[in-house]
Amino acid sequence: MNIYWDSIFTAINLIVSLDKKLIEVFFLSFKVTIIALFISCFIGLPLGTFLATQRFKGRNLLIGIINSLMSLPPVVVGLFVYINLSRSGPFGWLGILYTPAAMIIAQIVLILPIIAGLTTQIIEDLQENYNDLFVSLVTPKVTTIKAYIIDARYSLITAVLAGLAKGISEVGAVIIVGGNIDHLTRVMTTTITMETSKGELSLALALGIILLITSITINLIVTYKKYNLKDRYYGN
Amino acid sequence: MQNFIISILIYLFISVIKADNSIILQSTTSLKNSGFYDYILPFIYKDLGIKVNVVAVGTGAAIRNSMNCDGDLLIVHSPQQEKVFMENGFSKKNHYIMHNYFVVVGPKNDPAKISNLNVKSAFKKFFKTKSFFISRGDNSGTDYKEKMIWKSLNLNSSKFSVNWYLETGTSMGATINTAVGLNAYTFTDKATWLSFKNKLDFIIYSDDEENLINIYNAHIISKKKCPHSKYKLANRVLSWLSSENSKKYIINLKNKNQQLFYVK
Repeated sequence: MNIYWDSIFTAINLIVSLDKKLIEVFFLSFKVTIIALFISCFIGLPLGTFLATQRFKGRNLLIGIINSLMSLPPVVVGLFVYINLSRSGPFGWLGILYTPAAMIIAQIVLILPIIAGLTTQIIEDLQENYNDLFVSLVTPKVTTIKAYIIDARYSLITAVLAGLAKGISEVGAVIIVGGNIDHLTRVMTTTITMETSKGELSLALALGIILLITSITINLIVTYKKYNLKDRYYGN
Repeated sequence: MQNFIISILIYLFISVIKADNSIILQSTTSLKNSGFYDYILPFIYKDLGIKVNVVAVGTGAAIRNSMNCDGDLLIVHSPQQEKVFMENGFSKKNHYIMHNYFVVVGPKNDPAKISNLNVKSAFKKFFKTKSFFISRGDNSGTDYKEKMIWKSLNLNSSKFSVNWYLETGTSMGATINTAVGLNAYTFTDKATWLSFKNKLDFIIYSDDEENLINIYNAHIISKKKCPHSKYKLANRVLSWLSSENSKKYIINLKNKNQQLFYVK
């Protein structure tokens, strides 16, 4: 039991004293994941909507592939991105291995299937209600996709939050492509791994607690905001 | 919205462009976990103005990464594995940096009764009594050394029963955590052990034996094999590390008054 109190105390201490190292890894964690999440949404939301609303050859296959990519282990993604970004790999000339950019790319590979897959599911349910309308109005594809995304925006928040959760919590990919370099690519999860292997268990757990608190805060804010806005627009 | 996207992209590019005066050091984990780099890198930065970015993985992985040209400097501790690296033309020479010793650690109540035994007799005892032993099993320098000891006793560790011989396949620290959790013996480098925090009642057995010497060597990654490597900067860091000046720093690194590394 002692270690729980120890780590809670350590967590409070780290937060109250605004520990410099903590702030650094904390913000890098969020910087990497937010950028990856943003890019994934930019691609994944339209892609998912497109898959849900359009019928074409190979559509089912594509949906199946995207859904199975959701279960990719982060380590495999890390390895895949590492092989490509390595100086001996095809994109080695970019010179971005062991930088935050490499971590962002790895997280996009992880998050994109989640966003696209969940979006497909959410929009598909909606599509039955609107399909006839859009067909009869002969709306262009881009307009249709935009309309669907805007209409489903509150449900799509779930997909975005799932992507955020995956990105912020994974360690397997970023530790391979980032290398856990001090002041450069060290994030919350890689720090936790490192402190665990130093035997600093209570510090590692304390960092976990801080990550959890942040995650809860974000989720609560977004959820409350979502229902507030929903009430205002649609009433209840 | 467009402005937002553009500013995000610019932000991304800024984080991509690194300071030119930096090198990537592929290293064994023990030097990072023992706090060696936290201690020595600020001195290097102060003297040379070079930022050393450390990627700490097992010796096997560090050598593999270096063979993919993903590093400028390599510091590892496994002479046999380094030999292969040099034979493949990735490095001309191994430069001695420092050394310490491997140790066997285990629970204080000593179920296998190995206190006062040398390392080979201790390993024999583990085998005979089938006492819990946790191995790295990750092709790291420490793992390699441990396997060599079994080999020198004419025992084939790959055929050991999982009833008592467990391979974790993870870093040294994670392996010690496992050993502590299972009340088992394990084989580690002394620096990692001394700076390790989750020891419970574990103590060192067979300490400072000359045949358990653990030598840390540095390699400059050959520019012939890897034209992009920053060999000039790496060379400057290496000559700093092997200078008399740095030796003073190295022997002064202590954990609870115990010296972590020695120099010749």
